[in-house]
Amino acid sequence: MWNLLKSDHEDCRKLRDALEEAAAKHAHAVSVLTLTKGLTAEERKHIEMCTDCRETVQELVATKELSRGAASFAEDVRPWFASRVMAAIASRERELAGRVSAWVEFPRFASRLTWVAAIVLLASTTWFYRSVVRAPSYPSTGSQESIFEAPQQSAPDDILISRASENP
Amino acid sequence: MARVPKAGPLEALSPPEAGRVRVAGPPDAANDRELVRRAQHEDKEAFEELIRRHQHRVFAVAGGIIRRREDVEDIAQQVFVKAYFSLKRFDQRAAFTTWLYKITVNECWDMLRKRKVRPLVYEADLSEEQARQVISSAEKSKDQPDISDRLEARQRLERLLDGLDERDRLMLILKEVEGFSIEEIAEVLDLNANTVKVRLFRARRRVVNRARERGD
Repeated sequence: MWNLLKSDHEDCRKLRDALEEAAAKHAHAVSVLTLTKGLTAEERKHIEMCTDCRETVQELVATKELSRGAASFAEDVRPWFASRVMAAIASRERELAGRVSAWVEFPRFASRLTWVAAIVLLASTTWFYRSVVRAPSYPSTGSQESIFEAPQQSAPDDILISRASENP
Repeated sequence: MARVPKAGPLEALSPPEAGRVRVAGPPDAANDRELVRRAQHEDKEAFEELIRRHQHRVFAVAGGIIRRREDVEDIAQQVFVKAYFSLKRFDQRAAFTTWLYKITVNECWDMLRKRKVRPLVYEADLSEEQARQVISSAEKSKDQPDISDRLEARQRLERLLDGLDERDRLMLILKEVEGFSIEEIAEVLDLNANTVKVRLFRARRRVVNRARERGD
């Protein structure tokens, strides 16, 4: 029983393949007769016996009928499309070449850029240092003295010498 | 309005021969390899040739996902620009189409993610210029149905497919409208060919049932 069912399914599958091939040969809508004309007698007999396959044939014909005359997007290709693509490619290539050349040029100016950067760095640090030094942070002179002049302390020997000179 | 037949015994349905512009089959893989190799060595003409060979299919895939005509060309352009700048990393282990479809699908999902809106296509989405272009391309082949009919047919189909899983919807569009093979759809969606077949049959069933319910 199982084998019988299996062979039936196999026949159906083969028939559907044959139908698909037959349908592919007809670009336009087809009738059932046209579609089955190329099939073998055995295959035609199978269609008459098998309800499922009969429906398949009808559906194939009906789908072709439904899609009959539908506009295809492939027809929208304009004659200059290839040229348009090539122009887009050329433009993209120029853009990419521009980007690449910018990076190629960079090493040529690298040494000059280093010098410029060094000078700018030196100038800016000097300016910064001088601006800090000049800035009047405290108005009192005492504080300035504490920064720039160390308090003069007399050494102990100086005191002894001065006392000795007072009391000879 | 297309009528959907009721499922029943085998019967000949009238086959109205409606014209449809279909994308030619996938470009030759061997030639692609050579062109890719040349493009990898900075041969721009080779890359331009690759664009010409694959532009229709990239438009078809992008249109199937995005569904907004005004965005499809931009996305397709992004896809090819991205492909050009990544081409040196492409080792040709996979087919060029597989690789290109992956880029296309990723670009489309990225765009949709950024927008965070479900794409919908209505007539109003067509700018005047685009409408003129479509009309002029339609005029080239007089045996084609009127462009407004074709846009309407597309919209009707899109509405029917709206409830489907996004992948199933794309599969049906690529198969039935854009003329992709099962193998190509498998490449686009990164699925096994058998899985695509099974899902296509299920998707068809759902669409047809839906059309019957609506009385289309």
